[in-house]
Amino acid sequence: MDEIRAARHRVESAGDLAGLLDAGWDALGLIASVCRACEKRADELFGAFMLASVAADEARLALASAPSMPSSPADLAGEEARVDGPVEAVADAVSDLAQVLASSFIAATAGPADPADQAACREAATAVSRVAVLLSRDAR
Amino acid sequence: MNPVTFGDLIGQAREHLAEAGRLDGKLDSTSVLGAAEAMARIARTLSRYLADAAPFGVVETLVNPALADWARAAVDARQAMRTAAATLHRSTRSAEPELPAEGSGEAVPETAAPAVGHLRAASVALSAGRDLLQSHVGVGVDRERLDLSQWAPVAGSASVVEAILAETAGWSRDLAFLAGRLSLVSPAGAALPVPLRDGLASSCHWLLTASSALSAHSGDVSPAGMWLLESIPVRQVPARQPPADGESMADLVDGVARSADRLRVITRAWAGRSAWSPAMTADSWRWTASAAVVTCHISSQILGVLAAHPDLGTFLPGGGPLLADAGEQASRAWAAWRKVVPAWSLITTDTGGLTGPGVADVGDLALRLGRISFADPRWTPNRADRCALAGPWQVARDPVEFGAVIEALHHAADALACVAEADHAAVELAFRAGRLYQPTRTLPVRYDVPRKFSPLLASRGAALVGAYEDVVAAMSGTLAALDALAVAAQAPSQVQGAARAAARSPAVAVILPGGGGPRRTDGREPLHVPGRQEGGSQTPQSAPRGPLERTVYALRAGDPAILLRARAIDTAANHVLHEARTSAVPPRPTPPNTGRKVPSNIPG
Repeated sequence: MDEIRAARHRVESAGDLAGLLDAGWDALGLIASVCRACEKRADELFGAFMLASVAADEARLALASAPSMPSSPADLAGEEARVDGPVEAVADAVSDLAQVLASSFIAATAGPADPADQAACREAATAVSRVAVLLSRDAR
Repeated sequence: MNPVTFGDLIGQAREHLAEAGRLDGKLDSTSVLGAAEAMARIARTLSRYLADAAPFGVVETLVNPALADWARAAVDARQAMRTAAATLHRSTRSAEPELPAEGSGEAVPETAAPAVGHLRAASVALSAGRDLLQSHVGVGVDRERLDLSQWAPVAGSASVVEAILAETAGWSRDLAFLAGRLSLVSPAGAALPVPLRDGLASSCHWLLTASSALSAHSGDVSPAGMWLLESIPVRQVPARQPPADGESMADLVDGVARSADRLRVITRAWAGRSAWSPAMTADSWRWTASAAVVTCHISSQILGVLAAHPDLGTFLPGGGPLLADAGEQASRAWAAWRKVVPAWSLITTDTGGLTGPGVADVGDLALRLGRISFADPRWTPNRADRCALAGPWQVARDPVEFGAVIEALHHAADALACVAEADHAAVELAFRAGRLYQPTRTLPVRYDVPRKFSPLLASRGAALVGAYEDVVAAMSGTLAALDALAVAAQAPSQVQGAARAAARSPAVAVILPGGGGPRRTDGREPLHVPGRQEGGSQTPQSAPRGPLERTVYALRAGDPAILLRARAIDTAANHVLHEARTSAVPPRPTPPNTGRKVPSNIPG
């Protein structure tokens, strides 16, 4: 849960597009990893977590095509997340983080960014919005 | 949703032939002429059935000692049937000028006996039956045979071909008796023209010859073979029916069957295109795999609920172990699919989007099974729509619903097994074709690639393909368990299991001329077609045709000598190759550490 909070803080405090993309990449990796870890913790939420992890991966792929994404090799060490706390609380936290990410990416498309960056952010926002919908308590 | 089956069509043909055999009504010469024309058409159609079953030329029966006796008999019968058709056709043409004009043409004249109408209807039904069988087979760009559905190998399986030959023998015999009786009638009004009488008598002889040739070499037809033959449906892709809120159990099962039907056809047709088709994307494969995970998870849940049903002893006596086995296999399949999804992590193709074939259908499958499992007609995987797992009485209230749920699970597993095989082949092909990429920033530091994406590392590609291999094996186990369950529950889907078993049995012949044997639609090497076993001894159906002979055959060269020369050239070429191989100098072993460096941007 602390990792999710930290990722959210990093996304919200990103100063420029490159920072947002880098923070977004890591946050999405965390979401995918947390969702995979939670899949088997609640049978009735299995599908939601599983599809959310796939959507997070898709958002990451979208970000990878952004020209402003830093080219430095990504840190893949934290791909195996350790999840503590009740699964409901984890789902809430992941859903919130996904909403923050979607809003940040949409806001980035409004700025004077490279059109390719804008397209990548738009695509990532669409994918990460699916995460928010899948894990939201009341999306209906 | 019940597609037309071969049984529907030959059922009609049998009825019409039986009615025609009664020769009801007053027969005049015009009616006899109409009957002879219809019989000529039937004989031609039957000769085509035989050509499909044994696509060998007369010359081949003479020069190929490896050809099985039944195949020779089918070729002999085919020739006799063609002669009968030609004789009947000639005789009607000769007799036409001697009779009133209304006897010819397609329309049945009002004065004609009902037998003529029945014979024409039988002719239409038999032609439609052959078209139905042929709808499962296509022809590739090199005139090779393509199996377009899972029924194609069934139509060429030993038990089904036996059934076709036996049916053809029976029809031929019925026609022969009818021709004989018609040649002896004394029609009212104008006398029967002599050419027509002679033609009918002669065709009777040829039709009996065909029937005898087939009967002499076909044993008792197994009921299973006949059942399978009659169960072959027309190949069609039913329209997609997206899930709607509030579907009943019957609607859900019907929807699952429809999606499964679509997936069986679509995935097979598309697998070979993954090396180049922009529609085949990593997004599609990833989504398909994730929907398959959800489907298998739900399937194992439902099987668990059914196994714990309080009325299991009444609904499916002795079904406990079968349900337990199926549940265990479904869990294995679930675990195998679960490994595919992370294997796709951060892999993309040169094109993107959910554009692959059947993407919507695997989603429909998961959603409908979920609505059965959770007994909520509005269930979705979203957290907001979640609900508790349904109890046994919510899933199945009576034996009918119990069987329907098993049928739905069986259809879903069958479709996912097709998807697994097709996607395994397609992903492997896409990887080999260099269509899979990963973000450069996910490569180890030693790689220096000046682009955002790099070809997929060989290790990751191998892991991905390996994950699919595991899925194919796991789905095969699941399907076997559900086949047994479907038979025990007498679910209509049990024919799928029987068809798979028949398709695995030794095939007897290719359906299309051109040889070479069945070819996979996924672009891989042609499949081996084993010979048919007769009387317990292995009898190869035919020595494989060489490349030149295949080409000449495909060109339909009429001169048998050309075919023989082509075979001789192929044989000589094989001898030369064999000599070249045996006299070749073995290559030197490559010394290790030659000092060559692998460029840093080549993944490995």
